[in-house]
Amino acid sequence: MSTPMATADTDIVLSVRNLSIEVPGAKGPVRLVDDVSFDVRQNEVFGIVGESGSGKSLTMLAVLGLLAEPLKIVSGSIKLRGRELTSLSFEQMRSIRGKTMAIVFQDPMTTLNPVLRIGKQIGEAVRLHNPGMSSRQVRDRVIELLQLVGIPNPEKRYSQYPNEFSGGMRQRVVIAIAMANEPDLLIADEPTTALDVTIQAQVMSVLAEVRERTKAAMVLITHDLGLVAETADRMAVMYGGRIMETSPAKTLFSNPNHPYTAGLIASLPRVDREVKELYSIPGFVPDLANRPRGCVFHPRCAMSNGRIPCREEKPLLHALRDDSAVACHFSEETAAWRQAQEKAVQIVDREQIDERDVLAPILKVDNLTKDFQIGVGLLRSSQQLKALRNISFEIPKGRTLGLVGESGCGKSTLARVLLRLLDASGGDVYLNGEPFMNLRGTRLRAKRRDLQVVFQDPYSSLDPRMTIHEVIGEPLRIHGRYDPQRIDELLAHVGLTPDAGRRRPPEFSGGQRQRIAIARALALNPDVLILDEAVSALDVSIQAQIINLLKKLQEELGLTYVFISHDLSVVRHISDEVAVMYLGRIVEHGAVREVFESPAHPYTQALLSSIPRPDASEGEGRIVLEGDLPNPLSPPSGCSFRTRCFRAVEECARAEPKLEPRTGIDHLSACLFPGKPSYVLADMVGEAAGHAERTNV
Amino acid sequence: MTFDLSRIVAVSLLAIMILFMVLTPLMPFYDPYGQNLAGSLVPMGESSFDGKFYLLGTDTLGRDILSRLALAGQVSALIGLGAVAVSLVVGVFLGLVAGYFRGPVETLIMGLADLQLSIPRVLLLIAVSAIIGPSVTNLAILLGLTSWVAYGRVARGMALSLREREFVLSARTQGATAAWNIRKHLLPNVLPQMLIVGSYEFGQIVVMEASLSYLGLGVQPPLPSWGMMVSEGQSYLALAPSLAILPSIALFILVAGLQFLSQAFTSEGEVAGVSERSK
Repeated sequence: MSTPMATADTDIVLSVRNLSIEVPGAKGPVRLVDDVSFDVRQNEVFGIVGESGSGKSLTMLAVLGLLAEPLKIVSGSIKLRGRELTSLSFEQMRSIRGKTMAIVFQDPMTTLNPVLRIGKQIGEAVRLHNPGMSSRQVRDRVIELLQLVGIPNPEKRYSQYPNEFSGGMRQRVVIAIAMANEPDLLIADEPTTALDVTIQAQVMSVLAEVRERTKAAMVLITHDLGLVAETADRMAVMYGGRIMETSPAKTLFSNPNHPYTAGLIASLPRVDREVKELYSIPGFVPDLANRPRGCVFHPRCAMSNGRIPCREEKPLLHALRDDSAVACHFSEETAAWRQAQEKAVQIVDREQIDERDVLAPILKVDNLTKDFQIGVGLLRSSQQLKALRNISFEIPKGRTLGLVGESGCGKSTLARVLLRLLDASGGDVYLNGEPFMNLRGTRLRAKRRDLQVVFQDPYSSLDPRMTIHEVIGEPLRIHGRYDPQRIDELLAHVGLTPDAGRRRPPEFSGGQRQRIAIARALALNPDVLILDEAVSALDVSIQAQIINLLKKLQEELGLTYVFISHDLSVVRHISDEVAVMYLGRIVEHGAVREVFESPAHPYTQALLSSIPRPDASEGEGRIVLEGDLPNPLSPPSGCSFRTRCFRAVEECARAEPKLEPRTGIDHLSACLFPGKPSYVLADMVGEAAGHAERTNV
Repeated sequence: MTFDLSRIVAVSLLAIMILFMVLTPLMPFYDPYGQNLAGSLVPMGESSFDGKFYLLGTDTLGRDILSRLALAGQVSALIGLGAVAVSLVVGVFLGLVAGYFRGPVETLIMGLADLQLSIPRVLLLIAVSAIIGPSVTNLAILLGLTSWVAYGRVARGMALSLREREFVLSARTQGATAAWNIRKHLLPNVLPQMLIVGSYEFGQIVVMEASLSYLGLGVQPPLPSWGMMVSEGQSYLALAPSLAILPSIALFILVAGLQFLSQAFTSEGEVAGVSERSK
């Protein structure tokens, strides 16, 4: 995956020059992509990083010739292997799409046609560009492709439907379709965003293998700085429709040239350290209908300080040393700003703040279980899905428990059971020392005040037909305590002005809506706040703002958080304790530092090693878990993780290991062989570790 | 985007009908009941023997068809509005309750809906109106009670998805009662769609009322109704075809207008729905 240094013209697969895309707006055309130029060379991975609205996906849709009315390319050229694409007819483009270039979209759940067999769908892609092939040949080619992307049992899988495939397997099928005609250029638009981290690692390694075989160049579009730094050779950072900088991906984290990139990096929580407060880029993603004059980033820039060139003159991309270019008037100052920022960071040492442990727990969960009856019907016998199995934990006042796990592990079910949105099948929950699970009617409604929630999707959590004032006032009205002053006070708490109250949700951006949802959750002065993926849907720069707000509120109001997330870095940053869930069970529970620095359970170790690490030193072990989550309707005997575990031995199938202190008094884990990362342990366990697939990155 | 053909057609057709129904009674010649035996079956645009001019002619009893058409239109519109109001209230209530509570409540309500649909509506209406006797009010209520299923089905479907939306869940965690959630969150969010269903059903009800009146089970003479006018004109189809054709045209204009209106509402609703979700 080394970058070819020679830049002869024959080496260039895709060349985009001065591309601009506009859409008509109420006050004249709105420029969504502005003067974008880049080259993608033979055999390389070119990353395009940006937040929502940066124009990264639009640029690649334009390359594919898929811009729909009213979007229009107003200037610029796109050349694929020297052939100009912008002037081609739709028919001519069709002969190129899928043959010379192909795309992998984000969501494999919607990319595949649910009523067509997998083999037919891949065969379609083969046949389109090879009309002469016999059906025997097409079938053989499809089986070959299924093998290429690592789908086991291709003969059997050939005639299955998409719903019989897991998310990761579907994305492999999408990759197989894209690779059907061995394109020169593969465009991957957020290919792993909809997938879990352990599956993400699988899919990325499939992509790498496939590219290795076909020598295709790839454009990787993503919002994940870590992923792009780890996978790409070169990359471009986009903001407000413009390229801010291009550079070799390896130096992105160590040496960003643009203040926007530097700001983004500073606002990312990290797994390897805890800081008191994240840096957050102030303000919001710009409204491109009112594009700022001069540099598009200057209103949010920490370095600009309103200097005249920033306000007046659009900085052009100019080359720096070693294959980099930057669009900033003062890019030489970025390094100094970064250093100052790094110095200002306060590393938190949690060991010093343990005296609160003596407090009685504010939320105590005792052996909570939840079973779902699946398939209750006339003809089918019902099956039991154990969504939660013996969940127990306690949280002292003012602390945060992070709950991590992949989709299907039961973390959201747990949130719903705790909130009494679902009834528990067994176990107890004590809120402020009082049992919460057996309350009914009026007493339940009164007690609910103490436990509030912020959900993930800021677009579905606010009623679009209410004003913000009504939204935040709703909990007060429910309890007959409506007070307009309190609403303004709550708005101020979350950093919004009182006049926001008169407007309706559609007028607000995702980050602002999440602030409103937090204000509503705080209206009744709760003791415990459940944050169910509350920052997962937000852009990086906005996410840091919300995390900082949550930490500030916790300090001011003494709130207790249950922070549910799949994002380990965010969990590390915000939590005091972490519980890792797998298939409805807690498999590891301990202080955040213990769990992250010396994970005991192999699943935790695999999760931690799946995080794309930009600064990963060569030769560091990565554990790529095999396979998918087992079917929760028929979980494996014994330890439910053993089917994917690299340390599993026969004994693991016999009994489910208890969650108990194994590597420290307060560090619980449910594994017979706890502790020590796999690469250290590999020699001890010997053959068992043979399951592990280690790749050197 | 402001140019929308179905909206323009809807507005012009309905405007024609409304103006016709409202303005005609203000005219000096307006007299829907007055019989003129000297001037029965006067053709369109001619005068009777006693010198009275009839723009649209007269019926067998010498009554002015123009006046009767206007009055019949008012009757139809009134019955339609009343029936839509009744069915909307009943349907939305039952649908939201079924969708929000689920379980046995839902099974019961939706079972009732299926039962309702399995009985031919015309037959049911004939039977019931034969028992309780036809009148404008009875008709409106009867037609309303037999057409709630369309609203109920749509409202239930929407309630099923709305009850899982996070703003409803968070209201529940704040201690909101079911009644609160249905009133504050579900109802306002289904109402626009219910108006679309309503505008479509309005047309259906006007036709249904005309059919009943044609069968003599609808509006009772001397009060006119378009359906009844068609039925009366039927026997004179060869002699005076306008007797049956004119009310048919009026019925067509009103129903077509309402259908186009529902079309316009639907496309507007779609646009609003899309822009709300687009991120």
